[in-house]
Amino acid sequence: MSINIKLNGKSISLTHTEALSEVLLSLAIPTQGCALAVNGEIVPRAEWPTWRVNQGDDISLFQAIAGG
Amino acid sequence: MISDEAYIRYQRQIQLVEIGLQGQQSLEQCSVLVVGCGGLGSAAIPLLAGAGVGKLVIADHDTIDVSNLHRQTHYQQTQLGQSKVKLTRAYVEALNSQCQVRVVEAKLSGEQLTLECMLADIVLDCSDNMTTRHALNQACYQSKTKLVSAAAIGWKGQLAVYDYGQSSPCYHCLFPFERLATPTRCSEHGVMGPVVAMMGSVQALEALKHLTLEAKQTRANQLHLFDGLINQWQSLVITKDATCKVCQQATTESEAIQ
Repeated sequence: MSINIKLNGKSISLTHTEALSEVLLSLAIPTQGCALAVNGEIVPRAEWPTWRVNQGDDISLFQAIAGG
Repeated sequence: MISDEAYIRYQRQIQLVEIGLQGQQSLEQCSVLVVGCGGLGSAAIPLLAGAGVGKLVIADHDTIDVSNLHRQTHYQQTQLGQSKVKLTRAYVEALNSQCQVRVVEAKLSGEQLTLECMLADIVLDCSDNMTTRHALNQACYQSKTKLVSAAAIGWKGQLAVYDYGQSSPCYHCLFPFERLATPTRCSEHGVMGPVVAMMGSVQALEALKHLTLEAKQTRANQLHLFDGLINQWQSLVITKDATCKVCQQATTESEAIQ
């Protein structure tokens, strides 16, 4: 069953539920230096390989910044 | 008791019910460590000194460059090449002689960093690189000193307060890496002055709140993302990483000892 999610505001259709890291890999999104939140909560990087994406999830992927 | 002179000086702040006389008095007793005297620090420091923080410790090893002046507006073009911390100390002393300033004209690291964090009531991370950010997080975690961390580049800003409570996350839980994909320094990437000044101002605001308000009135462990191009904020809850090298290793060690 396909599911629909949002990544940084853009709608994306997935053929089946996948782990976060699989989604990012299949979309060929570079993630070096990035953090990620699902529905307003940060998902620690170590959990990306096991965190299942669900129908309607709103994902924010953003780069860490260090300037000051 | 607060002096008549101080009462008149801080009246507009004391009038706020959340601060009051009690809040003002506690500010006078507080020591704040500010690491970095660039865009973030130069916005935050005058506000902290103006608000009546009793003691400021300011650390930076840098000197003023002409390219700093578009955003670091408490320096002057007649001061190029001079020490940022020394000039900032003079600035603060002229602004508020009731605020004691101590400067560290060096890159804080190792035991000196740990000690400075331990002595502070709250720490502001106004630095410009990931190595310092991680070192500060580690030192503040060890001494359980609250950390107000902010960063800015381009049109964007990020800010979070870490309270290091028992189940609280830390900076390393959020960003468990030192290498970034893109340049992180303003010298390499450019930055809007008002964006970095805003982030520095919010750092001062958060520090003043955490130093004066009751715990239930303040929030920590949330990441606030600001986009100056569209003028929008986004807030995210920071989650503890069960495998975090900084805040989980220590827990595991203490459990092992027990």
